[in-house]
Amino acid sequence: MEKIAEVENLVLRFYTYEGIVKALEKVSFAMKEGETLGIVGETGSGKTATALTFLGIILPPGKVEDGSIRIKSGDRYIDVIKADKETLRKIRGKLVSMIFQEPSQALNPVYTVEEQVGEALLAHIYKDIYSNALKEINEQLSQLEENRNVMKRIRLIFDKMVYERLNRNADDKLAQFLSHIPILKRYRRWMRKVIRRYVIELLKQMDIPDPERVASSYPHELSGGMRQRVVIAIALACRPVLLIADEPTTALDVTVEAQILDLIRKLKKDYGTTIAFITHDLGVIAEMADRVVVMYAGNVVEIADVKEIFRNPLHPYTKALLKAIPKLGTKELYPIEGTIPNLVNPPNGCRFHPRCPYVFEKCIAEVPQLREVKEGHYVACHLY
Amino acid sequence: MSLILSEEYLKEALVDARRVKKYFPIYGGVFKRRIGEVKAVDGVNVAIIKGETLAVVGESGCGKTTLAKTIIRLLTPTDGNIFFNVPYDIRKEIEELLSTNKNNQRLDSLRQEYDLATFKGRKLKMLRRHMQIVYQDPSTSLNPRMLVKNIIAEPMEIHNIAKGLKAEEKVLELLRRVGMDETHLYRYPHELSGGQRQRVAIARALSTNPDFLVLDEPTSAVDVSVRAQLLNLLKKLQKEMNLTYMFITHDLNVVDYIANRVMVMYLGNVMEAGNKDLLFNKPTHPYTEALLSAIPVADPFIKRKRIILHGDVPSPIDPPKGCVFASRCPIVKEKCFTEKPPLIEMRKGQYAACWFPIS
Repeated sequence: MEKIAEVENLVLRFYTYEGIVKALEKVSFAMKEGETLGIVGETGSGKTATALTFLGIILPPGKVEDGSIRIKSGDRYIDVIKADKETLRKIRGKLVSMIFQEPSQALNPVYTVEEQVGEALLAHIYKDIYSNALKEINEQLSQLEENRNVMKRIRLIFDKMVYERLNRNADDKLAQFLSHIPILKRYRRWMRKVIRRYVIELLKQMDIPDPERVASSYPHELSGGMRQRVVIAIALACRPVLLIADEPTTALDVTVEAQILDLIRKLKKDYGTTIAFITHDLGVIAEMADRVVVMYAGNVVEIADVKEIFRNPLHPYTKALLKAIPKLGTKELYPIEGTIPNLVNPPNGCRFHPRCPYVFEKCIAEVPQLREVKEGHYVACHLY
Repeated sequence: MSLILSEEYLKEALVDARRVKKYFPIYGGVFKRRIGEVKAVDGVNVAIIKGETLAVVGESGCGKTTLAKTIIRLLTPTDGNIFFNVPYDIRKEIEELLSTNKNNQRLDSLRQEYDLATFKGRKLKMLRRHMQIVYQDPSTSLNPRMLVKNIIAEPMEIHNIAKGLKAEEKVLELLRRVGMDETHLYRYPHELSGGQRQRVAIARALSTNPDFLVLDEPTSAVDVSVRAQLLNLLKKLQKEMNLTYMFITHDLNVVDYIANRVMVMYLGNVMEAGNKDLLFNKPTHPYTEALLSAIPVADPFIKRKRIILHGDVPSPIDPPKGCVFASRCPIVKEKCFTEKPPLIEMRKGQYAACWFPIS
């Protein structure tokens, strides 16, 4: 299968008052087309930081020091790290899209659902929207009787003129100017009408009951599960090639979580999107992912098939993690002793060595590299 | 309303709460009149034996925390009786008096003496020594301006258990008990990790030597690897100090690990309660079954049939007339919308409120 995204030697630092936080250290992995890649790790392991670099939204004091993220666009690859603002704007939403953890924070409380989903649409498929609006105007014009409704006809002809200009050039200066003038800016209602149709269609695909009502309501009027569906709708509005789901179900209840996971699975089938699924819940990973990347303290420690990870984990951290989670029927839990290291002063060598039961001299001295131990099974550990 | 749980069970109960109701008023309109109420807990019976762990599970907003807070009297119940460490004869007598005559002097005096729902002032304070609570998020439940030492010593000072040097000794002992040491005495909460903070919160709860501990989602704010440490710690403490737990959670995997008995709540009502093994292996209520099937299993080799509940939990302001679960139930029938099912014994040690239980 073809690689759709490739992360190579990603190094991310946060320059804080307490010192330099070494958030990501040489993170490399690849994503294949159409797969669901699960990224697991505890808090502070760098899962979300990796996701944010995909969209180029790491804010100061954070800085990507090294590495590349290449995402397939058509038949060439775009490097997100080196991309300029204009390219990034085209990538976001169209090529890569993201579902955030807390739906109540991801949505703007003062805009309706329709406006927020519409914003994503207008940013990328404005051409379709303008031409559809023009079609609508023409239809209305042809329905008008001759010699009557003169005012209405004038208005329609005016709107038609604006949309013709917009169709030729989306950044039309006159249209932009008109959109600030009362009365004249009414040309926008055609656009809104078209967008509303798109939005309702999209909400229907998210299994939202009564999409007309939801489209015109504000986020606070919706339940947590509905809000998350709206966030997913925004993310999928322009059919991105790669969808990053950053703990999409952590803030939800179990029964709602099951609904959302089911929805994501269904959408993946319909849209054929490649998904990076970030979570700390190994149960969700087992259900959703095809391949798994295990992260610890800013490092990738293991990459393998989901079945391989659960049946035959190699890295001591993965092994310990699997023994530490309560499952139905477990009689005893084996916690991982110690805590996650402070990334201002990470341990020398392997970052897991202070908590590792198999530690030996080499682990303290040397950083283990990610190596392919078996076909498709990569591990960063001196034991192998 | 008949009481659930067999008599021999109730005899040994340390905590016995009956028909607990907690309604929160809603004020509105021009004159801020009372226009309705949120039925957070609507007639729930709970009994917990000394030394056992009762897990209360349910989705957010189902009233699990309100129930726990009402039982330890952080909230005043709207209705119901709550007994803590009261001999069975007295409880039985009160029960009989309640069913026969509502206005009875004997009943009033008994309730004044034994029923937590009527306690006030000093009596309530005396009681608080014996029941403590650990909250979900230690970063908000610990005072950021107090040292660990003072956080743990404060309850002892309030209840006149120990002061000064003696208190410090006890603090150290408690810290060691929860797996920390003297280096943590003079730290502020923000200097500790999430797991350590929760340990401090547990140590604080244990400082008055309580018999009964409410654990309100103690592990949901911490990481997976630390969660296991805390669960093992809680199990160890229970054995060492003979504690009784009421463990509130929405994580059924954790329930399976720590609880003896389970109570499943939905919209302020008990859906199913009983022995953990029975309930997990052979659920009789469709809600329990759906909950169990909804947990993601950390094993890609197990493929189960999931029951996906559609829609959301209805509003507790205006709960459905019949069975509260009827609006989302996959096997709902006409009767469910009109009549409320009582909690009845389905198997020995397993109670459910359903007209059409799964056999």
